[in-house]
Amino acid sequence: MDKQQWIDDTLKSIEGIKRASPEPFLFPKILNRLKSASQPVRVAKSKLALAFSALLILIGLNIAAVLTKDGAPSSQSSDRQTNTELIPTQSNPYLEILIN
Amino acid sequence: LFKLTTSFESLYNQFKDEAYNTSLSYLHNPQDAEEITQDVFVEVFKSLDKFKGESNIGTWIYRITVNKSLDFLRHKKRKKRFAFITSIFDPETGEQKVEQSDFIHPGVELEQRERSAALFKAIDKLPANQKTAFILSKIEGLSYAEISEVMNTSISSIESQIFRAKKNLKKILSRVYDELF
Repeated sequence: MDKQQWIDDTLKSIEGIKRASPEPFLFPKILNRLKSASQPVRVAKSKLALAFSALLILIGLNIAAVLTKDGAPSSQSSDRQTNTELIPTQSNPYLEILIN
Repeated sequence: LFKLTTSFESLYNQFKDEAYNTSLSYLHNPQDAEEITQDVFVEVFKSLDKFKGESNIGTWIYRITVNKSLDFLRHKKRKKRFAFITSIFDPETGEQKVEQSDFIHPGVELEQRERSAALFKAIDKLPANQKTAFILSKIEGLSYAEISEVMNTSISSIESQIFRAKKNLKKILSRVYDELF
């Protein structure tokens, strides 16, 4: 068979194609999905208690960390000093340009 | 609730074939197409209050169907790439698996089945936009104006997508012919 003819016939093969239909029980399936999606999610009391205790421990640990930090000597200023010392302004041409 | 379900059912009856047939044209598998049709109508039900009526409701349902079908194909492609080796060889025997059979659309005339299978295989190789424009035009029978609404683009862009789709399909089919004969 002629190649061009075969290509043209193949392209025309879907002319007059009829729409396919889904199975008749698809709508009840959709309704079931909608029903199950709208039902409230039930969580067991034991799981709720566990989550609440974990939250309490987390908050407690945070408070303890803040209190311990307030009591400890601050090393922030010395850190800042060290950081500035790490930048050699005298020998850095880019910084010199920025300063000038 | 009864009223809502009844009106939703009439909406479903009006557009179920459009959603199913469009997704079937993309996915080539009745089970997958039914899954997408379910997803489409679940989303339609959930977002019905958000639908502003700026576009035709049919256009809106087509848009959801196209997006869900393309997402499904992308997901499948990613999974396929990941499991490439296992999909080629049978894990038990180590032999090469038989290639999936050709897709025969149930709405195609009997004498055109073989040729249409080759065409659907070729459509599958088109880029997403060309594929969508071609399916909506040649399989769903939408006008260029309707397709432009679904794809949110101009009519001239749709004309160009379909022109390029046909050109690419001819190229793909030419290679298929060389392999077959």
